Amino acid sequence: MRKLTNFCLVSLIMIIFVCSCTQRLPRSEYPIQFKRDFNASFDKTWDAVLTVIKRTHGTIITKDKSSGLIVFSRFDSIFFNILIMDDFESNIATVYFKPMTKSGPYMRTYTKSGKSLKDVDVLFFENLERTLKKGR
Amino acid sequence: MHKIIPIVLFSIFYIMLCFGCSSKSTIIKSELDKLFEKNFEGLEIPDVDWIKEGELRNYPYKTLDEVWSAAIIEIIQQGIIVHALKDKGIIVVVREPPFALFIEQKENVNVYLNWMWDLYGRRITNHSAISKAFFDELGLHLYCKDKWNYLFD
Repeated sequence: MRKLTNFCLVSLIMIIFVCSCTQRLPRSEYPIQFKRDFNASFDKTWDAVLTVIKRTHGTIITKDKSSGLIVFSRFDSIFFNILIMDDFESNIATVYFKPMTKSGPYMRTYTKSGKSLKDVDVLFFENLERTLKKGR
Repeated sequence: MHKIIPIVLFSIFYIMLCFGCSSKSTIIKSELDKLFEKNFEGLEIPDVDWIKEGELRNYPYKTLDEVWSAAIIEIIQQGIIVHALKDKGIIVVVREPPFALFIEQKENVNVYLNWMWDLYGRRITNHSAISKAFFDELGLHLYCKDKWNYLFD
């Protein structure tokens, strides 16, 4: 009887522990965007990215059009690796966007309630989309 | 006399405390730290011959364009590309520790990697494990569609 009680107690503790560990993590309203496709040619997308950088007062560190690569930095010491790749057949440009800091990948900011703020990647892609639409 | 001794002792203690707090710790900045402050202006691009002294991995059945694009996609997730010229085949990457790549088309596509210790200011011991991981990731990126084609249909 005593053994059964002990077993039940241990099981109960284990169930409580497992349940507390499997608590759901808050879901972000703005999932991290690493790449996005745009219905535009490579050249138009390249020019639009440069316009966005100029508008946000970014400093270009390196750019190589034959690779589709632009790297720029912002006043707040965030560095942005941008890669544009095109698909000639479908006229779609894929834009990769990766923010980095001196110490490694840029981490998103979250509010105290656990919600993520609309962050650099979302803002960049929105800005780029607007610029491309204006240019049409 | 008995009243003066504690006052003197307290004064000495107070002076020592003030000097201790006001002392500035000197931070030794590496070349890399200085370049970060200047947005990488004045960065010296390493020679091809120097990069070739580093580690090598070759990727058969792939073109230079394919390897170059795959390398860039892999690198942008790992560090800051501070220099890239496809015509010359050189990529300089700032991460911990920084490295330079040289990609050339020979019988196979050869990728050379050399660590920029002078820029970093120190050496780490497990660098060969990091370069192996990079070469493996690049290989996986290049050959995954050929190996597991059914995953991409």
